[in-house]
Amino acid sequence: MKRNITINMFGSLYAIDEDAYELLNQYQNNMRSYFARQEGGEEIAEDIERRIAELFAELKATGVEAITIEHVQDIISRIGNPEQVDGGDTDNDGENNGNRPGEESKGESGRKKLFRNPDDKMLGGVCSGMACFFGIDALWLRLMMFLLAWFSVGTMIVIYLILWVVIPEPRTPEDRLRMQGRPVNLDNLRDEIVGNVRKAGQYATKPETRQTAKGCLSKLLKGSLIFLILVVFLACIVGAVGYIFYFCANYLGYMSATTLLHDASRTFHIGQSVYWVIGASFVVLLTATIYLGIHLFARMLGRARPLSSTKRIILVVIWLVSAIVFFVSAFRGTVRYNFDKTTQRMERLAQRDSIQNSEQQEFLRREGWKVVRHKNGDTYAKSGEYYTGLRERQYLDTWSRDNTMEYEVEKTEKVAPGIYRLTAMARTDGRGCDIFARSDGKELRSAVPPYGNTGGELWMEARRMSEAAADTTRNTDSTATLKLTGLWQNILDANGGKGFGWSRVTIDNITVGPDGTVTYGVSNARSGEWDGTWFSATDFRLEKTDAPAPKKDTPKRKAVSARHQPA
Amino acid sequence: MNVDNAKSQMRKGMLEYCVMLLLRKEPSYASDIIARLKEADLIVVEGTLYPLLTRLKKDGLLSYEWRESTQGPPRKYYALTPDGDAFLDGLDSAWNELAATVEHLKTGGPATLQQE
Repeated sequence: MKRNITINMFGSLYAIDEDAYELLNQYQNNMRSYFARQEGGEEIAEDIERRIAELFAELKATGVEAITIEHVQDIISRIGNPEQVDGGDTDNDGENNGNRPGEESKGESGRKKLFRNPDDKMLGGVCSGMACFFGIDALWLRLMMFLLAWFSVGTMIVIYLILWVVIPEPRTPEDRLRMQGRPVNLDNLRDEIVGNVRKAGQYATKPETRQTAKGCLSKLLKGSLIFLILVVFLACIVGAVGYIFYFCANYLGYMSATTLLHDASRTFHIGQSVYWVIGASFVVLLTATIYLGIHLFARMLGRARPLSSTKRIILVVIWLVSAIVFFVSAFRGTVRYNFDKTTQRMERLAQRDSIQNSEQQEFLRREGWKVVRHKNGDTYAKSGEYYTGLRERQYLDTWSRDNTMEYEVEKTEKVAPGIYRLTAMARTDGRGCDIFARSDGKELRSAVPPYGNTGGELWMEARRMSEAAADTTRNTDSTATLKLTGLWQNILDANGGKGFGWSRVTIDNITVGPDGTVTYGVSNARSGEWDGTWFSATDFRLEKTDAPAPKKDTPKRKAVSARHQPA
Repeated sequence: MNVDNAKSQMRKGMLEYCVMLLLRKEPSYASDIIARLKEADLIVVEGTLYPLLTRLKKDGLLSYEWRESTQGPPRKYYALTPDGDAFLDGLDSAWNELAATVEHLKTGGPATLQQE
């Protein structure tokens, strides 16, 4: 028993079996879609439909009550399938097809196509479709997929979802045949259609079947898939916008107005074309994502037709490539950006150094110092730890990480012949640093006491004096004491009361000959036993004493206490 | 290449000419043409005719008009246009030449070749 329907063809009614109708409908659809590519193709399809109607009319005239699938099959083999019909007019051998379907079916069966299998699916039918394609049992593929999903920490799930989207479901009986790798010929097509109709009939009589249950599950899953994709999609947009915003803010934020133009011109040079790559790939990624997202969404709502598989694959490839390019270039852009930032910071530091350097040179020139040697030391002069605590005051200074640095400065003065004394304020952290004086072919040296950068003889002296002042108030010259106390108080207070390590260094009995020249300075290279890392010196003072000092052993402390004015 | 294949190639080349010859006698509709062609064993699948008619119409060699039918829906009756007539004349002479050449080859051709 078969269900029978009535169709209207060009104004005439024909009774036709349901399966016959399916086949006929399929045939006409094929015809239409085949000739849609050609000019006047619609007319051809319509002419063929007219011919079918005519043949139906003939059948009716011979007393056929209902058109059966055999009738339709007969008519189709009479008129020919689209390839045959078209081939007759152009190149193909028209006779080949009707009489010898074997050849054609061989050609078709080779073209097995990959589809999702809607008849045997757990989720999207991807596994069973692939099983069909590779001719293995879907069970093994599913098992493998499950294990892979477990071991690949979910990567396989993403791949599955992508495959779900990319691989189409068979929409026509031909697609089904191709999925199964069966030759697309009339017999198979008929079987497929008949089978389907029968199945549809069964489902119609038994509504609660797996089909509907699976449909629900699959709808639910598809719904969550849309949700997932939308979330990823939104995250992408937010992330990208945030990144760009962060990038702009960070990049533009720290640039001053004066360097803006300069930096902008540098930003877009070839080495920084990575920023363009980021932008371009982002635009492509965004477009592809939006397109895919909208399409998917529309499809879920049933508003769009599925994309052709080539289009899908191209889109997905574009999406993947642009995503990879975007993330790689964004990463490289960040690296590049940080590199630029570092470079700029270093340039600014170098600039500052050179300014400082010129300030130091200016200081040396102003004070009349001649640099005899300067090796490995970081500076010529510094400020900040002057012995009175005066922060702006500059003094000779150099430093190196190890004891390899050498620094020697000197200056020559013209004075009247006689006996002189040289005093200087100096400090160091090691032995081997000397104040020296040279005159009349004779050099005198006096070592700088290595107190480091705290305390120092000068500071200790100041402390002694303040203790003494606290003990006794019997000093007669109160005004002088007050004056002295002001300066010594500063020395005592320097470095938060700890002192900066300065000591007074004195060289007595410098005999200046008739030529009247005396050269003095500071050096860590003249004694040859340097084991420190830095020294400082300042306030060199040459005084005429006329009478040679009686002894060279203990003049220092006496001199300091005798003369309270160090500078 | 077997005989069937060669035969079908020959028929196919002839098809356009034959259809136009049929239409020179009288305007016909597609099913008439199909019937005549089938009689002459010129086509195997009927559908072949439709793309051919459409193409000839597109080239301006044929035109059609709708005529009411007693048995069913109106039918398309195809006829040659003046262009089609001229074209067919050209085909006629080409065919005559071809037939003459074939005839010549059949009777004297191989002999001539052997003489050389």
